Amino acid sequence: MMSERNLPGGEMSSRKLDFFWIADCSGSMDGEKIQTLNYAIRQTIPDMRKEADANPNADILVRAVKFSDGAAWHVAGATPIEQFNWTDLSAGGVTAMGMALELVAGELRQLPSDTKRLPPVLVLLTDGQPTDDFKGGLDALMSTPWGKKAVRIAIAIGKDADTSVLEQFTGNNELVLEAKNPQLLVKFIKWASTVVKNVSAPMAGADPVDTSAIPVVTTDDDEIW
Amino acid sequence: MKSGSTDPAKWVSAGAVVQGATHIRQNKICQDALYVHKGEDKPFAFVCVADGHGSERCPFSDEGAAAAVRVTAEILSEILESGDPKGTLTAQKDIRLPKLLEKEWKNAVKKIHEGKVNDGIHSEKAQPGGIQPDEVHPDGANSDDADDSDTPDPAPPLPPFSYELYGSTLLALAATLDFVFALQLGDGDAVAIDPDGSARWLLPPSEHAGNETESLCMDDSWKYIRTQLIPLDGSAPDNEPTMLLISTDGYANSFVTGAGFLKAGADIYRLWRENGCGYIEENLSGWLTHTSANGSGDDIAAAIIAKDMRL
Repeated sequence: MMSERNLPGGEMSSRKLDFFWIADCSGSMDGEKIQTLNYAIRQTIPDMRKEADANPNADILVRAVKFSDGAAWHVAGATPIEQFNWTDLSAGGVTAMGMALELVAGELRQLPSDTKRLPPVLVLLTDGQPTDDFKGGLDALMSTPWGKKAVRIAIAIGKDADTSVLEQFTGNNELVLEAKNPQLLVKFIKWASTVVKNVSAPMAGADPVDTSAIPVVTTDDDEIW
Repeated sequence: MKSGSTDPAKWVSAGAVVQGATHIRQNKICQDALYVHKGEDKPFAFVCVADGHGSERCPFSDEGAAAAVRVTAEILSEILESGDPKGTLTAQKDIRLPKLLEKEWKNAVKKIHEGKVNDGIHSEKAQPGGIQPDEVHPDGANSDDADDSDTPDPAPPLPPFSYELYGSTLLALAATLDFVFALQLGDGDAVAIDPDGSARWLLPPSEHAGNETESLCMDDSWKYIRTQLIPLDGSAPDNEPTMLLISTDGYANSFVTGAGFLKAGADIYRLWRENGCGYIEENLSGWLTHTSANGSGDDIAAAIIAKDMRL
């Protein structure tokens, strides 16, 4: 029988996984877009909690940034998914996406750069084009060790989103998901939240994003935004 | 502590490999592998561990890890049996040995894959971690683990061969009467415990954050193999390690800090001194299982070489 007293080593802990929602709250998001975004993110919470229950060796910590005329924490501080709740966002203003990325960069810079932390997951949701220094924000993000290693997913809401900018953010056009209607937005947000499942698995050298599982756009998903 | 012998101490070894807590929950077989050379009738001992990547792109990495410890053991055994192992390793540790390891591993996994093609087999159900059954303690907790999950998935077509299918890391230790030697490719940890009981990294730990690692499957992977040879000539006895530990990354990743992991090495050394090698062999598997469950959730393979302190 193993003696706890003799268990070698210091304090143990599960691995941390930092998940960031980065949400556009500009004026063009007003109405059904922001309502659907709020609804969809709220819907992901039970699934993410379930995933956390299934994998107690990874602590999922959630934060959220909102951006319009500026950028601010909507959920400040790393919040365990078990305690995470979503307060509805409202829309108004312009699209300070660069400032949002700088805010996230600042937070990533604070994370310990140890091998036991899992790559962060950043999910950017937007319907428009940045109105500030997007490149400066992206450079700030990519100058951090964790920004480079992060799993970066972008969800373009409607037909006006600048997908070329979002491709710069993700570095992979497969991870720019074009949500042309509310149903697709809900599907994509739910899919993005499930990426934690793969990221949290202890698999060295793994590609944490299974792009084959991205919801497929069907003829029923006609463009309405 | 048992002591009293004035002869140069022989080295003895122990090791264990356990299926990670997450892999148990997800019904995935252990991807780590272990080889322990006991050294009982030889003036040397050596151990190897390897960590198969386990991702979807590496479906046969458990076999890649088993191949890694097998070919490394064969190569080290040949060198250590030679007339001048210290001279051979000194001459070959930086280029020739790493190149040989890469070549032999790549040949081995290619052969495994060709066997699958010829036999029409998709995926052999490997022993968990590719353990050599007679090389680990019979009470090891891992031997039956994989059998709990034997409902095979429908076999997808065999993918075309690539080394990535079998990707794995590798760590090895060897010790003789006049030197100790460590080798590492990718993540994982190699630790030395000095006579005063303090633990230190024998090779610098990986600087990759997250799940990234170097791998045997990479092009020119030999260039990423790091080695260290420490002579045991009595010139700096305080710095001549008395115990060495290698482990796959699931062990260190289970602790809040690196110091917490080094403490594991120091604690094992203390327990070894107090209770002997048999105690470590009996308990190591249980410690690793408990550590995975309360830490990283990852598979763990760990192996130790220590100076034999029997009277």
